[in-house]
Amino acid sequence: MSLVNSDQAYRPSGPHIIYENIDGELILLNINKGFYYSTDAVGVQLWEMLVAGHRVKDMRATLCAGCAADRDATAKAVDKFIDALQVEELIVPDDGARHGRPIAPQAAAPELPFQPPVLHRYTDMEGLIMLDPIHQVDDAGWPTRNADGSANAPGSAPGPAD
Amino acid sequence: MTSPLVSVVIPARNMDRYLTDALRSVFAQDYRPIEVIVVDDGSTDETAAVARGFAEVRYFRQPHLGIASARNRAIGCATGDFIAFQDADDLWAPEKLTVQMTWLLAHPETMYVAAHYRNFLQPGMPRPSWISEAQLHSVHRGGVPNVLVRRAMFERVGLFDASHAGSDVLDWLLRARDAGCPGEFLPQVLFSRRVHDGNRSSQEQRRRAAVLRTLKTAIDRQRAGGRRDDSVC
Repeated sequence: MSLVNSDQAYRPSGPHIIYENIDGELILLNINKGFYYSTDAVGVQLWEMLVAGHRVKDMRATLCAGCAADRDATAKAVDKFIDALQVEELIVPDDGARHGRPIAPQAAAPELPFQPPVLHRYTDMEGLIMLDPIHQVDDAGWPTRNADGSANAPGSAPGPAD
Repeated sequence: MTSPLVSVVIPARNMDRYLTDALRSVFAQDYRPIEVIVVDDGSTDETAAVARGFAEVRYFRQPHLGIASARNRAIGCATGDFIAFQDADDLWAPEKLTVQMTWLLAHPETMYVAAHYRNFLQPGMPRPSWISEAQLHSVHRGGVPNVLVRRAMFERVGLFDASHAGSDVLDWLLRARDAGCPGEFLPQVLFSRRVHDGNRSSQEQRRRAAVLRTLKTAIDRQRAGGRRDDSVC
Protein backbone atom coordinates (compact mmCIF):
# COMPACT_ATOMS: atom_id res chain seq x y z
CA MET A 1 0.00 0.00 0.00
CA SER A 2 1.32 3.40 -0.90
CA LEU A 3 2.38 5.65 1.95
CA VAL A 4 2.45 8.64 -0.34
CA ASN A 5 0.14 11.57 0.29
CA SER A 6 -0.46 13.57 -2.86
CA ASP A 7 -0.25 16.88 -0.97
CA GLN A 8 3.03 15.95 0.65
CA ALA A 9 6.39 17.39 -0.25
CA TYR A 10 9.65 15.66 0.59
CA ARG A 11 13.29 16.54 1.04
CA PRO A 12 16.57 14.63 1.29
CA SER A 13 16.77 13.14 4.77
CA GLY A 14 19.87 15.04 5.80
CA PRO A 15 23.37 16.13 4.93
CA HIS A 16 24.42 12.49 4.88
CA ILE A 17 22.58 12.15 1.57
CA ILE A 18 24.70 13.47 -1.26
CA TYR A 19 23.81 13.34 -4.92
CA GLU A 20 24.70 14.60 -8.34
CA ASN A 21 23.36 14.34 -11.85
CA ILE A 22 26.20 12.84 -13.85
CA ASP A 23 25.67 12.49 -17.57
CA GLY A 24 21.92 12.28 -17.11
CA GLU A 25 22.05 9.67 -14.37
CA LEU A 26 21.44 10.61 -10.76
CA ILE A 27 23.95 9.12 -8.33
CA LEU A 28 22.99 9.21 -4.65
CA LEU A 29 25.07 8.15 -1.67
CA ASN A 30 23.99 7.60 1.90
CA ILE A 31 27.23 8.43 3.66
CA ASN A 32 26.12 6.86 6.92
CA LYS A 33 25.22 3.50 5.46
CA GLY A 34 27.64 3.39 2.56
CA PHE A 35 24.79 2.47 0.22
CA TYR A 36 24.70 4.16 -3.15
CA TYR A 37 22.00 4.42 -5.77
CA SER A 38 21.43 5.39 -9.35
CA THR A 39 18.34 6.32 -11.24
CA ASP A 40 17.43 7.11 -14.82
CA ALA A 41 16.14 10.18 -16.62
CA VAL A 42 12.63 9.96 -15.19
CA GLY A 43 14.05 9.43 -11.72
CA VAL A 44 16.27 12.45 -12.24
CA GLN A 45 13.26 14.53 -13.19
CA LEU A 46 11.35 13.43 -10.10
CA TRP A 47 14.33 13.96 -7.80
CA GLU A 48 14.89 17.46 -9.11
CA MET A 49 11.23 18.30 -8.50
CA LEU A 50 11.44 16.74 -5.05
CA VAL A 51 14.45 18.75 -3.93
CA ALA A 52 12.80 21.88 -5.35
CA GLY A 53 9.97 21.29 -2.88
CA HIS A 54 7.25 20.19 -5.24
CA ARG A 55 4.38 18.13 -3.94
CA VAL A 56 3.64 14.64 -5.14
CA LYS A 57 0.59 15.75 -7.08
CA ASP A 58 2.74 18.23 -9.01
CA MET A 59 5.20 15.50 -9.85
CA ARG A 60 2.40 13.27 -11.09
CA ALA A 61 0.97 16.05 -13.21
CA THR A 62 4.29 16.93 -14.72
CA LEU A 63 5.05 13.37 -15.69
CA CYS A 64 1.57 12.90 -17.13
CA ALA A 65 1.97 16.01 -19.25
CA GLY A 66 5.25 14.93 -20.73
CA CYS A 67 4.58 11.46 -21.96
CA ALA A 68 2.05 9.10 -23.38
CA ALA A 69 0.69 7.17 -20.42
CA ASP A 70 -2.55 7.02 -18.57
CA ARG A 71 -2.83 9.09 -15.45
CA ASP A 72 -3.16 6.13 -13.09
CA ALA A 73 -0.08 4.37 -14.38
CA THR A 74 1.99 7.51 -14.05
CA ALA A 75 0.70 8.26 -10.57
CA LYS A 76 1.47 4.74 -9.43
CA ALA A 77 4.97 4.96 -10.82
CA VAL A 78 5.59 8.26 -9.03
CA ASP A 79 4.22 6.89 -5.78
CA LYS A 80 6.29 3.74 -6.05
CA PHE A 81 9.42 5.76 -6.64
CA ILE A 82 8.72 8.07 -3.70
CA ASP A 83 7.94 5.04 -1.57
CA ALA A 84 11.23 3.46 -2.48
CA LEU A 85 13.15 6.64 -1.66
CA GLN A 86 11.45 6.71 1.74
CA VAL A 87 12.08 3.06 2.47
CA GLU A 88 15.73 3.59 1.63
CA GLU A 89 15.71 6.57 4.03
CA LEU A 90 16.89 8.89 1.30
CA ILE A 91 14.00 11.31 1.82
CA VAL A 92 11.67 12.40 4.59
CA PRO A 93 8.40 14.34 4.48
CA ASP A 94 8.96 18.06 4.33
CA ASP A 95 6.27 19.83 6.28
CA GLY A 96 7.83 23.23 5.96
CA ALA A 97 6.46 26.00 3.75
CA ARG A 98 9.02 25.22 1.09
CA HIS A 99 6.68 23.95 -1.58
CA GLY A 100 7.91 24.60 -5.05
CA ARG A 101 5.97 26.69 -7.50
CA PRO A 102 3.30 24.83 -9.42
CA ILE A 103 4.73 23.50 -12.60
CA ALA A 104 3.05 24.68 -15.76
CA PRO A 105 2.28 21.86 -18.17
CA GLN A 106 4.58 21.95 -21.15
CA ALA A 107 2.25 22.45 -24.09
CA ALA A 108 4.82 21.40 -26.61
CA ALA A 109 6.08 18.43 -24.62
CA PRO A 110 6.66 15.42 -26.84
CA GLU A 111 4.46 12.42 -26.27
CA LEU A 112 7.20 10.03 -25.28
CA PRO A 113 6.50 6.46 -24.22
CA PHE A 114 6.32 6.39 -20.44
CA GLN A 115 9.15 4.60 -18.70
CA PRO A 116 8.65 4.13 -14.96
CA PRO A 117 11.67 5.35 -13.01
CA VAL A 118 14.00 2.69 -11.67
CA LEU A 119 16.04 3.09 -8.50
CA HIS A 120 19.09 0.86 -8.42
CA ARG A 121 20.73 0.15 -5.09
CA TYR A 122 24.32 -0.92 -4.51
CA THR A 123 25.10 -2.21 -1.04
CA ASP A 124 28.52 -3.67 -1.58
CA MET A 125 30.58 -0.66 -0.59
CA GLU A 126 29.90 -0.02 3.06
CA GLY A 127 33.33 -0.96 4.25
CA LEU A 128 35.08 0.73 1.38
CA ILE A 129 33.58 4.12 2.05
CA MET A 130 34.65 3.82 5.68
CA LEU A 131 38.20 3.30 4.53
CA ASP A 132 38.14 6.63 2.75
CA PRO A 133 35.29 8.38 4.53
CA ILE A 134 33.42 11.46 3.47
CA HIS A 135 32.94 13.99 6.21
CA GLN A 136 29.72 15.80 6.82
CA VAL A 137 30.57 19.44 6.89
CA ASP A 138 28.22 20.50 9.62
CA ASP A 139 28.07 20.37 13.38
CA ALA A 140 27.33 16.66 13.28
CA GLY A 141 30.80 15.94 11.94
CA TRP A 142 31.46 12.85 9.91
CA PRO A 143 29.81 9.50 10.43
CA THR A 144 30.94 7.46 13.35
CA ARG A 145 31.03 3.75 13.55
CA ASN A 146 31.91 2.12 16.79
CA ALA A 147 34.10 -0.91 16.77
CA ASP A 148 32.03 -3.99 17.41
CA GLY A 149 35.00 -6.08 18.32
CA SER A 150 34.53 -8.50 15.45
CA ALA A 151 36.29 -8.73 12.15
CA ASN A 152 34.36 -8.79 8.89
CA ALA A 153 33.83 -12.01 7.07
CA PRO A 154 36.46 -12.68 4.39
CA GLY A 155 35.37 -11.18 1.13
CA SER A 156 33.57 -8.30 2.68
CA ALA A 157 35.10 -5.04 1.78
CA PRO A 158 36.97 -3.04 4.32
CA GLY A 159 37.18 0.52 3.43
CA PRO A 160 40.20 3.17 4.52
CA ALA A 161 40.23 7.35 5.96
CA ASP A 162 42.34 10.19 4.87
CA MET B 1 61.99 -17.60 9.75
CA THR B 2 62.70 -14.10 8.47
CA SER B 3 59.75 -11.77 8.46
CA PRO B 4 58.89 -10.22 5.09
CA LEU B 5 59.82 -6.65 4.33
CA VAL B 6 57.06 -4.08 4.71
CA SER B 7 57.39 -0.89 2.68
CA VAL B 8 55.82 2.10 4.38
CA VAL B 9 54.75 4.77 1.91
CA ILE B 10 54.11 8.32 3.06
CA PRO B 11 53.01 11.07 0.67
CA ALA B 12 53.70 14.49 2.13
CA ARG B 13 52.93 18.02 1.07
CA ASN B 14 53.71 20.87 3.45
CA MET B 15 53.56 18.65 6.49
CA ASP B 16 56.71 19.72 8.32
CA ARG B 17 54.74 20.39 11.50
CA TYR B 18 53.52 16.84 11.80
CA LEU B 19 55.83 14.62 9.79
CA THR B 20 58.30 14.09 12.63
CA ASP B 21 55.63 12.56 14.85
CA ALA B 22 54.30 10.43 12.01
CA LEU B 23 57.76 9.08 11.21
CA ARG B 24 58.59 8.45 14.86
CA SER B 25 55.44 6.37 15.15
CA VAL B 26 56.56 4.35 12.14
CA PHE B 27 60.06 3.75 13.44
CA ALA B 28 58.62 2.83 16.85
CA GLN B 29 56.95 -0.21 15.30
CA ASP B 30 57.81 -3.48 16.96
CA TYR B 31 57.84 -5.11 13.52
CA ARG B 32 60.97 -5.37 11.38
CA PRO B 33 62.11 -5.27 8.63
CA ILE B 34 60.60 -2.10 7.24
CA GLU B 35 61.61 0.46 4.65
CA VAL B 36 60.15 3.94 4.84
CA ILE B 37 59.55 5.97 1.69
CA VAL B 38 58.51 9.62 1.79
CA VAL B 39 57.41 11.23 -1.45
CA ASP B 40 57.37 15.00 -1.16
CA ASP B 41 54.65 16.33 -3.43
CA GLY B 42 56.18 19.72 -4.14
CA SER B 43 56.26 21.03 -0.58
CA THR B 44 57.22 24.64 -0.02
CA ASP B 45 57.90 24.25 3.70
CA GLU B 46 60.55 22.25 5.57
CA THR B 47 59.09 18.83 4.78
CA ALA B 48 62.28 17.82 2.97
CA ALA B 49 64.47 18.73 5.92
CA VAL B 50 62.26 16.84 8.34
CA ALA B 51 62.22 13.71 6.17
CA ARG B 52 65.96 13.84 5.58
CA GLY B 53 66.48 14.17 9.30
CA PHE B 54 65.65 10.47 9.56
CA ALA B 55 68.63 8.56 8.20
CA GLU B 56 66.55 5.51 7.33
CA VAL B 57 63.98 7.41 5.25
CA ARG B 58 64.16 7.07 1.50
CA TYR B 59 63.16 10.55 0.36
CA PHE B 60 61.88 11.44 -3.10
CA ARG B 61 60.61 14.74 -4.38
CA GLN B 62 58.26 15.49 -7.24
CA PRO B 63 56.43 18.55 -8.51
CA HIS B 64 52.99 19.02 -7.03
CA LEU B 65 51.02 16.29 -8.80
CA GLY B 66 48.64 15.21 -6.07
CA ILE B 67 48.48 12.54 -3.43
CA ALA B 68 47.60 9.71 -5.83
CA SER B 69 50.66 10.43 -7.91
CA ALA B 70 52.82 10.64 -4.78
CA ARG B 71 51.56 7.30 -3.52
CA ASN B 72 52.15 5.75 -6.93
CA ARG B 73 55.69 7.09 -7.00
CA ALA B 74 56.32 5.60 -3.56
CA ILE B 75 54.87 2.24 -4.58
CA GLY B 76 57.10 2.25 -7.62
CA CYS B 77 60.12 2.74 -5.38
CA ALA B 78 59.06 0.15 -2.81
CA THR B 79 60.86 -3.19 -2.64
CA GLY B 80 58.75 -5.00 -0.05
CA ASP B 81 56.12 -7.63 -0.77
CA PHE B 82 53.80 -5.78 1.60
CA ILE B 83 52.95 -2.10 1.42
CA ALA B 84 51.56 -0.04 4.28
CA PHE B 85 50.08 3.42 3.86
CA GLN B 86 50.76 6.13 6.35
CA ASP B 87 49.73 9.77 6.23
CA ALA B 88 52.19 12.49 7.13
CA ASP B 89 50.10 13.78 10.02
CA ASP B 90 48.85 10.61 11.71
CA LEU B 91 50.26 8.30 14.36
CA TRP B 92 50.50 4.54 14.21
CA ALA B 93 50.16 2.40 17.30
CA PRO B 94 53.48 0.60 18.00
CA GLU B 95 51.94 -2.81 17.37
CA LYS B 96 50.22 -1.83 14.14
CA LEU B 97 52.38 -3.69 11.65
CA THR B 98 52.85 -6.72 13.88
CA VAL B 99 49.10 -7.17 14.33
CA GLN B 100 48.34 -6.75 10.66
CA MET B 101 51.25 -8.80 9.33
CA THR B 102 50.48 -11.63 11.72
CA TRP B 103 46.95 -11.69 10.38
CA LEU B 104 47.92 -11.45 6.72
CA LEU B 105 50.53 -14.17 6.98
CA ALA B 106 47.96 -16.45 8.56
CA HIS B 107 45.38 -15.66 5.86
CA PRO B 108 47.09 -15.90 2.49
CA GLU B 109 43.78 -15.51 0.64
CA THR B 110 43.28 -11.99 2.00
CA MET B 111 44.82 -9.27 -0.12
CA TYR B 112 44.60 -6.39 2.33
CA VAL B 113 43.66 -5.50 5.88
CA ALA B 114 42.41 -2.45 7.66
CA ALA B 115 41.48 -1.77 11.27
CA HIS B 116 39.99 0.94 13.49
CA TYR B 117 41.21 4.35 14.57
CA ARG B 118 40.64 7.19 16.98
CA ASN B 119 40.86 10.92 16.46
CA PHE B 120 42.91 13.25 18.55
CA LEU B 121 42.88 17.00 18.60
CA GLN B 122 46.05 18.83 17.70
CA PRO B 123 47.28 20.27 21.03
CA GLY B 124 46.39 23.92 21.41
CA MET B 125 43.67 23.79 18.84
CA PRO B 126 40.00 24.21 19.80
CA ARG B 127 37.66 21.50 18.62
CA PRO B 128 36.51 22.41 15.11
CA SER B 129 32.77 22.77 14.61
CA TRP B 130 32.76 20.03 11.99
CA ILE B 131 33.53 17.30 14.48
CA SER B 132 31.41 16.66 17.54
CA GLU B 133 32.83 15.90 20.96
CA ALA B 134 31.46 12.37 20.73
CA GLN B 135 32.99 11.80 17.33
CA LEU B 136 36.29 13.18 18.47
CA HIS B 137 36.49 10.54 21.16
CA SER B 138 34.81 7.55 19.54
CA VAL B 139 36.34 4.69 17.61
CA HIS B 140 36.01 4.70 13.84
CA ARG B 141 36.47 1.98 11.31
CA GLY B 142 38.82 2.34 8.38
CA GLY B 143 41.31 5.03 7.56
CA VAL B 144 43.92 4.98 4.82
CA PRO B 145 46.78 4.79 7.39
CA ASN B 146 45.24 1.52 8.51
CA VAL B 147 45.58 -0.12 5.13
CA LEU B 148 48.24 -2.76 4.58
CA VAL B 149 48.23 -4.56 1.24
CA ARG B 150 50.07 -7.29 -0.54
CA ARG B 151 52.19 -5.89 -3.33
CA ALA B 152 50.62 -8.44 -5.69
CA MET B 153 47.38 -6.52 -5.37
CA PHE B 154 48.78 -3.69 -7.47
CA GLU B 155 49.54 -6.15 -10.23
CA ARG B 156 45.88 -7.18 -10.25
CA VAL B 157 44.28 -3.79 -9.67
CA GLY B 158 46.81 -1.29 -10.95
CA LEU B 159 47.94 1.88 -9.24
CA PHE B 160 45.89 4.81 -7.98
CA ASP B 161 44.14 6.74 -10.73
CA ALA B 162 45.01 10.41 -10.40
CA SER B 163 42.01 11.34 -12.53
CA HIS B 164 39.89 10.44 -9.50
CA ALA B 165 41.55 13.13 -7.40
CA GLY B 166 39.81 13.33 -4.06
CA SER B 167 38.48 9.80 -4.27
CA ASP B 168 41.38 7.90 -5.77
CA VAL B 169 41.59 5.54 -2.80
CA LEU B 170 37.91 4.71 -3.06
CA ASP B 171 38.27 4.19 -6.81
CA TRP B 172 41.20 1.84 -6.20
CA LEU B 173 39.28 -0.11 -3.55
CA LEU B 174 36.26 -0.46 -5.81
CA ARG B 175 38.50 -1.75 -8.58
CA ALA B 176 40.02 -4.16 -6.07
CA ARG B 177 36.57 -5.36 -5.16
CA ASP B 178 35.70 -5.85 -8.81
CA ALA B 179 38.95 -7.74 -9.33
CA GLY B 180 38.01 -10.12 -6.53
CA CYS B 181 40.57 -8.97 -3.97
CA PRO B 182 39.18 -9.78 -0.53
CA GLY B 183 40.02 -7.54 2.38
CA GLU B 184 39.47 -7.68 6.10
CA PHE B 185 38.83 -5.27 8.95
CA LEU B 186 40.62 -6.12 12.15
CA PRO B 187 38.99 -5.07 15.42
CA GLN B 188 42.03 -3.37 16.91
CA VAL B 189 42.54 0.40 17.02
CA LEU B 190 45.82 0.81 15.18
CA PHE B 191 46.26 4.49 14.41
CA SER B 192 45.34 7.93 15.69
CA ARG B 193 44.07 10.51 13.28
CA ARG B 194 45.19 14.04 13.99
CA VAL B 195 42.42 16.63 13.75
CA HIS B 196 43.90 19.92 12.71
CA ASP B 197 43.25 22.93 10.49
CA GLY B 198 44.80 21.35 7.47
CA ASN B 199 42.39 18.43 7.28
CA ARG B 200 39.28 20.45 7.89
CA SER B 201 37.97 19.15 4.63
CA SER B 202 37.46 22.67 3.37
CA GLN B 203 37.37 21.14 -0.08
CA GLU B 204 34.67 18.74 0.99
CA GLN B 205 32.25 19.74 -1.74
CA ARG B 206 34.80 18.92 -4.39
CA ARG B 207 35.56 15.67 -2.67
CA ARG B 208 31.89 14.74 -2.55
CA ALA B 209 31.57 15.40 -6.26
CA ALA B 210 34.66 13.28 -6.86
CA VAL B 211 33.24 10.40 -4.83
CA LEU B 212 29.96 10.47 -6.73
CA ARG B 213 31.83 10.42 -10.03
CA THR B 214 33.89 7.50 -8.81
CA LEU B 215 30.69 5.67 -7.92
CA LYS B 216 29.30 6.42 -11.37
CA THR B 217 32.44 4.91 -12.86
CA ALA B 218 32.02 1.85 -10.67
CA ILE B 219 28.38 1.48 -11.72
CA ASP B 220 29.33 1.72 -15.39
CA ARG B 221 32.06 -0.86 -14.84
CA GLN B 222 29.62 -3.20 -13.13
CA ARG B 223 27.15 -2.85 -15.96
CA ALA B 224 29.83 -3.53 -18.53
CA GLY B 225 30.79 -6.63 -16.58
CA GLY B 226 27.22 -7.85 -16.39
CA ARG B 227 27.03 -7.57 -12.62
CA ARG B 228 23.54 -7.18 -11.24
CA ASP B 229 22.53 -4.43 -8.90
CA ASP B 230 19.69 -4.57 -6.44
CA SER B 231 16.79 -2.71 -8.02
CA VAL B 232 14.42 -1.46 -5.38
CA CYS B 233 11.93 0.24 -7.63
